[in-house]
Amino acid sequence: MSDRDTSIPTPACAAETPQAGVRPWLKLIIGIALIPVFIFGVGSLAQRIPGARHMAQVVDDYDLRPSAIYYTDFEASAEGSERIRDSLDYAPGRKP
Amino acid sequence: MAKETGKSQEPDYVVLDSGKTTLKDLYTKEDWMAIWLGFIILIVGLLIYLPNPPEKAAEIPKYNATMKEEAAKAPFKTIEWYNASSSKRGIRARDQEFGKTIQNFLAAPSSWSSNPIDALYRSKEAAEAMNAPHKEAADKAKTAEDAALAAAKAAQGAAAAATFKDAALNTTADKAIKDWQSAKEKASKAKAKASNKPYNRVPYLIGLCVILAFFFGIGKAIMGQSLGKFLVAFPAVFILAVLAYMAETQNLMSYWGFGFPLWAILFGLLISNTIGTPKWIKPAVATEYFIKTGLVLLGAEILFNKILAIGKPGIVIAWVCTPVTLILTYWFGQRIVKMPSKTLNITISSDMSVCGVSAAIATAAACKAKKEELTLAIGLSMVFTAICMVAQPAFAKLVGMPEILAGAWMGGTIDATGAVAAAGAFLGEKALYVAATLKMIQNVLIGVIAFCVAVYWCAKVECQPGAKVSWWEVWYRFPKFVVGFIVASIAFSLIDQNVGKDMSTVMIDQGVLRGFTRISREWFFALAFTCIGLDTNFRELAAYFKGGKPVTLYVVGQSFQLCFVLLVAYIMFYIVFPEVTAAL
Repeated sequence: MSDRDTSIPTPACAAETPQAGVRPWLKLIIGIALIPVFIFGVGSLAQRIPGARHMAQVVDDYDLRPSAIYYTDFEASAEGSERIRDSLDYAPGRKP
Repeated sequence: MAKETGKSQEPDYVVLDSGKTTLKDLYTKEDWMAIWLGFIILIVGLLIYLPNPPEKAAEIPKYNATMKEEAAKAPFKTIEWYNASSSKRGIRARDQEFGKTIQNFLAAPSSWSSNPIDALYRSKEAAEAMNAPHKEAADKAKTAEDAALAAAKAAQGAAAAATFKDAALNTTADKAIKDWQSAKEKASKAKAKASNKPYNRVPYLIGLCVILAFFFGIGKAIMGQSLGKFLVAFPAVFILAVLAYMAETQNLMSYWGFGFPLWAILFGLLISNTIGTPKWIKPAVATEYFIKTGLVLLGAEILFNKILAIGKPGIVIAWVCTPVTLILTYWFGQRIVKMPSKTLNITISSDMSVCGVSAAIATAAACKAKKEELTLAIGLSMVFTAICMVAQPAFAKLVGMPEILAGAWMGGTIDATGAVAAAGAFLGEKALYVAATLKMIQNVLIGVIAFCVAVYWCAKVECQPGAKVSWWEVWYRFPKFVVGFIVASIAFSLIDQNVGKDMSTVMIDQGVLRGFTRISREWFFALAFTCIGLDTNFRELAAYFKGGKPVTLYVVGQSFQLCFVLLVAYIMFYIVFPEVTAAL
């Protein structure tokens, strides 16, 4: 790993050492305050994008989870694959 | 070797080199400890669920016989066919009392809109107040469903009287039955909106925190680290993970797919880059430990039989287009964009071409990418997913793309698995189910990709140019947790195969996995992402954006994938296998 193929410089890690003084705490408070601003401000504004409200509606209606990272994280994948499986295994018009 | 940070035990890389293997590694190295912890959870899950199948599971053959009979009788799906299919889908091992208790204990915070406390606590009065405005709509929807069913029965009766030989009557009956299905769905959704229940998640979260602290702490102690310090530090990391979940479950954020990984990193970054990560928290800042244990559990969710879920077209779209896009994007990144880091290149290529965050985690761990690289890949993926999730269905609607084609296209191209379903649902139910199923097939590819990347990195990338590497050397360098990941996948795929499709759905997918190990895995990833944030700095992250190379790589790769998957999906569903399309 010593000959790792990266040309990214590695600056001194700010994450390592707690900083002293009031400024770091001020930065933290501002950061925390920006979170609700993003959630409620940007989040609400984003709802004005064409189609966004309809998207929100279908997410609610189907109880979806757009942030799901894997198929087991939400129900629609199981529902969908089982419906499709039944449709393919027991397709109408097939002789028994 | 990975660079050890001054005060933290946590290295820069998502996964460390383990050097030469000895028997002692089996209980002193995180890779192996993650395997044992993961296996303990998987075995416990199997022991809880497998001996306790739901009583209704015995009725599955009856439902299958009904569907077979009805499929032979009529040229369309009859009312009885739909009822049998629906009853079969309703049988789930995790719906039994003990399953509900486990899920309740492990549950993440609930959704909320304006008051974050709602994510943790809802009184009986609040639940009733939420239900009240929806009760009337639920009753109306039920009445509409009953009327639609009566109309469907009449239409089917007329078609049956003509022994299903009158094409016009068959078409009328088919349409009436589909209308009934649509009304039934609406009634079910309306009922769900009027069925909010009270809860108090706080005691469960405290209990879960204690259990996880001891579970991982004992592992740390076996590896020779301090159990006491870990127990003191762990609640802080756990609380940040809970907050990350709460940010995800806020209604507006959940619509856009800004999930807990992003929030966990953000909260961690906020602390580490302002006041600094306090010393006493550092014993629990164990990214690798949590991520590898989570990946072993994810291995069990990689069931190879799932690749057949939508027939041959699905296999071609997910298992041919995806690796081709991945390899071409990686090549483009190395040769044309000249990415500064191969590990960043493969992590972005993988999360863009396969399935977003989960693929990024597995690939980054397999190639020993740096935490900043994984963070960057996840950030890019989430931003582009939010855009594609709205833009792709809007485009499909604009050009009048058929639902199955649009579903396959979005399933094969949008990164995040959940966003795929949302984009599909935007167009309709058929698009939703095709998109979600295709993505599921693509999800399974993670196992193969993680394994191939791990081998390729050990055998080729980490070597001197032209030098030959023995297989032993490859094994020494190989991230061992991948062994646990693959073994879990093979073991669960074999169980899945042996118990049969239907019982596997009831007992494995809707039991062990969704009822226990998946929820645990998600907590482990939430803890891991919090640790990544607590151990990362903005300046290093910013260095990767130099020249906008990651964005260029992502945009070019995604543009290629959009065109390639659309073309292949059209060929597969409309030229090569039109009978599959007709049956869906």
